[in-house]
Amino acid sequence: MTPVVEARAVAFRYPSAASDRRAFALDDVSFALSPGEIATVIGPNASGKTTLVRLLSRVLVPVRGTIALEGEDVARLVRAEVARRVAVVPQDVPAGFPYTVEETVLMGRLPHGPGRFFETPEDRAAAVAAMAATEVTALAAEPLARLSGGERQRVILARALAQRPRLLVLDEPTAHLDLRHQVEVVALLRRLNAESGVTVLLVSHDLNLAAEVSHRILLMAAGRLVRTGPPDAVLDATLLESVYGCRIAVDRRPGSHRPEVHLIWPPRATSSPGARPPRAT
Amino acid sequence: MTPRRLTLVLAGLGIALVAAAVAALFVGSAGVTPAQVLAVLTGRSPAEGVERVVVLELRLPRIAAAVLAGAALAVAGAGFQALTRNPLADPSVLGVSSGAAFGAVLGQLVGLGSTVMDSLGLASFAFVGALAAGVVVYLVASTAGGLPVHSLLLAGVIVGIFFSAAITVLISLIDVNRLGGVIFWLLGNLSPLPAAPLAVFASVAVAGGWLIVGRARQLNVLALGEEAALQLGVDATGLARRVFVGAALLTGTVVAFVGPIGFVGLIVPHALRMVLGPDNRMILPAAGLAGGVFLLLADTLARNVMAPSELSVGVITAFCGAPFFIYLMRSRTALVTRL
Amino acid sequence: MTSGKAGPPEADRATGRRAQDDVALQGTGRDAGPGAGTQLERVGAGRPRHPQGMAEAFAAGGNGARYRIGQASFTSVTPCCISTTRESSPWRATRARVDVDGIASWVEPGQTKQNEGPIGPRRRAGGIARRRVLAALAVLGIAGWPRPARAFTVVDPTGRTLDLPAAPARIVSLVPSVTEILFAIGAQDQLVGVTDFCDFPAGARAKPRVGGMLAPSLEAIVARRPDVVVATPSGNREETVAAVGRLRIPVYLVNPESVDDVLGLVARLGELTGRVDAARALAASLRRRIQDVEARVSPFPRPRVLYVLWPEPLIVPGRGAVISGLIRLAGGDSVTADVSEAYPRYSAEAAIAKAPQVIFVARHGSEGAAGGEDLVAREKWQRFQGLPAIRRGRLYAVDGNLLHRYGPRMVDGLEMLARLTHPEAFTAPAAAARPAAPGSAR
Repeated sequence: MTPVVEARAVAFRYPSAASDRRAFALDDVSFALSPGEIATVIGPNASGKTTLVRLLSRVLVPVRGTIALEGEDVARLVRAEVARRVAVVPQDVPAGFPYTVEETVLMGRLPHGPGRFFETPEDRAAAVAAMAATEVTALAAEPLARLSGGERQRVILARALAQRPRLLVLDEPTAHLDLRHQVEVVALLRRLNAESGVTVLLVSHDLNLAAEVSHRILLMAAGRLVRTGPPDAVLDATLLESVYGCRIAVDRRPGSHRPEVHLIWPPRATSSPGARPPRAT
Repeated sequence: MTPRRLTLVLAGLGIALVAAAVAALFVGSAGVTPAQVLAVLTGRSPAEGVERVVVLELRLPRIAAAVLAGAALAVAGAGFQALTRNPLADPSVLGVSSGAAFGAVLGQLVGLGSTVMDSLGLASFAFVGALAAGVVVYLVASTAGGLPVHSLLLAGVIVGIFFSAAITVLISLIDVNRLGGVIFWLLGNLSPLPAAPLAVFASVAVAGGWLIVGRARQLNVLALGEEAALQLGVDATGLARRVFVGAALLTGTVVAFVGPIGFVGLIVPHALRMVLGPDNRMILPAAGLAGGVFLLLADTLARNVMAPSELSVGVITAFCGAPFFIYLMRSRTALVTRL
Repeated sequence: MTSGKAGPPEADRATGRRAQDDVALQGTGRDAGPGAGTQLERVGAGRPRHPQGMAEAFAAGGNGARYRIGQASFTSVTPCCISTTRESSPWRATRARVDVDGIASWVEPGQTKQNEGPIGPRRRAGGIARRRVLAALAVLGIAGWPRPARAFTVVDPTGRTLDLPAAPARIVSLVPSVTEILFAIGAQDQLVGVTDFCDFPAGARAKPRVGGMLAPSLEAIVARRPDVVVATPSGNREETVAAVGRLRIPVYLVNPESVDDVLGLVARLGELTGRVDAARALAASLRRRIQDVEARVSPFPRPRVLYVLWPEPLIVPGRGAVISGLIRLAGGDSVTADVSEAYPRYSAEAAIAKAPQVIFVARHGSEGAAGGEDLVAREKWQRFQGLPAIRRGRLYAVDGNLLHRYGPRMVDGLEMLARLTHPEAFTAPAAAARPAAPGSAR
């Protein structure tokens, strides 16, 4: 079966970072995601997670290596075609964003008719379905700026769903959410994955979220893929301690037997190998 | 947004435009009676009559110039605001206005009036100035990767400042006798354009407008940010290029043919957004019509408030524009939701 | 603005009298016209620049020569509206201008041959002299290029030809000084529209107005149904002139650049309005008064004069400015006449360094309404106690309306300048009775 996405020895360097001591934001990254898979990219700040998301959605183009979407080199696809296959849910919308929920979700239909001035009835149907899936139908006429963070998150997710992508990439989907909404988003992602078979790639700092929802976890550090595998294999206390540079304990969750990561206070006093680099991810 | 809603709005604005144009045909300092205007319009007036000249050769072309200029400025303003995601952006921010003004002042200085320019007057100089400024802004702003909006804004402001300074230099060189004309021109004034320049004006305006309006849906998506727009399949750089060229063409022609008229590109799109919402597919075409109506009304005022003396239409638009701008600033937070 | 002056410019202005030594110039025409027997004599210092050919003979007028035909003497014969035509290479005169005491007339060659009478502006005195001039033109051989006959053809001071269907009965003036002149020569009934700035004489305020000088209402102009619109490149905008032209209204452009130009303009406007005698009388009276001033101030040493046209930034009259000419006539030496520009911005430092002995500060605005700039300027200059002018209390505010408007009142302004520059010249009993101020005629 063709992987939904496959990265082969991908390297990337920001043009302005030539003099940076770590010239490459991403180096020698290879992985593949199968249809229907849920995977999470974890790693410290500046480990290259966001760069990876940008490369997958062709906001950036690799310096070396290739990224293939369903077997086709992403560099050869027109931009709209990329957007029909990969949808990205950013952390939030820009401040002052003036559109209503419905208008926002309909924007997800642009890749399906980039030359059209108006949306078609199919576009509207897709938007209605997407809003229903994320339970924002009741908010359709509300301006996005007036919604709470959780509601906004669901609207952006609905917009991504309206794209009808093969690969759904979520950048810190729970960052702005309280505990209850975090639970809701996780449940929603699971349901979507189960119902439509969409491949989901999460980027998260929340290791326990990763452990809970992922089939596979990709651990990154300093632009490289350190380990890839099921949660059990990646969420190893020694490995995490070396990557994050703090004291970590891992035990099992009672019901699901998935790993559960705890930070141990006080963290180790010595300076850590994964010290905070200046660039944000 | 549905086609039906757009049609309704545009039809309404179209009616308003026709009404304003008809009203403008009937008023003026010549004291032509409405009956005489009607006679001219229905072709029942004597061929050599003054009424004919006033209505067909003065008022009609001036109305056309006002509508074209207003439409062009409003579309350029709306487009540029969408492109920069800055609701206070104005076509003059592009630096193109200053470039055109520089060209016009230079034209005065080198003693225009050579027969080559008889038909277009200052316009050709202004147009070249506008294009030059546009190209410079473009070159300054474009990087290897594309045309980042913040660079565009910054380059526009810088180039604008440079050309303003250059204008000051030229003005201090200019003959006192010509100074009045230059300052008059800098205020922005409409005049009845002959058919050929009017045709040039109209074609450039239509071309520029098409470049912008045709990408209204993409401009909507751009409100999400450049990265999000890319992720939705919008070529943000190409879009920026296209809208910039369109806005520069529109601004440049307007400045060339009628002078730098401020505030139309700011007021009209804002007023429309407050009423019609933010969708550029609605705002851009509506701005075309509403801008035409606005500038036509402003010019009709300018022609008649102090008749037979004429105010500069730029003075009227600024007079309405400045208080509106202050209102915008004061109520910015309230407006954010509907911007 | 528009085409430059056609013909040799010196000839246009050469209304001043010169020493004359007789140089006879025999006609070199190809065919003898009706007045072939009349000899055109050229009397003057210049020599023909191009010794053969008809246009060349006319061009010879361009070096200050004067001509005489029988009893009539005239200043210059200038080929005008020089144009290239398909059938003849380079330049060729299609029309000639003859100045008789500053009054120009325009002759079309083809008509000279066919008609004995004067062709140019018709309703004009001086018929005999004119007829002879025309005859002489025929002698010189400019005949031969037929043009459709026009009822009234006139060339404005900038050299543009106006073909009018008839002598203009309705004139719109966009130039305040022209309005003044038209009133002064009694042509006010032909004046049907003026600008907001045409405030002199009182009668001008009663005329229908068409707006300001920069932005007159085209509609209002058209509504006055003018036969001709008088405009100036210094004060009106080119666009206005172009727009009026597009409306098929002839535009008569004036652009006086010297005191002589102003006198010439008076004469030309007389020609345009058919009030030649009144214009000639006015011009003569103005000239007399100018000569009187010159005579009075000539014995006295010339003080250094600074004329402040505008205080901040300091704008002064340069070499080309009419005011510089007035200062010279008034017996002063303008310290800023070294600048080639007409109205340069001038450094205050440089002006002070010239140590002016008399300072004039122009008062702008209409009569009575103080603009205030003169106060600003007075205060500013009053501070420089080291200046000779300030030490001796010779800083004067003068009415700009008299000095900046190139109408009949300019001579009033000249007299005022002269009295302030040389009070000693005017304390002596007047040599001659002063003629009535023409500005108040009517």
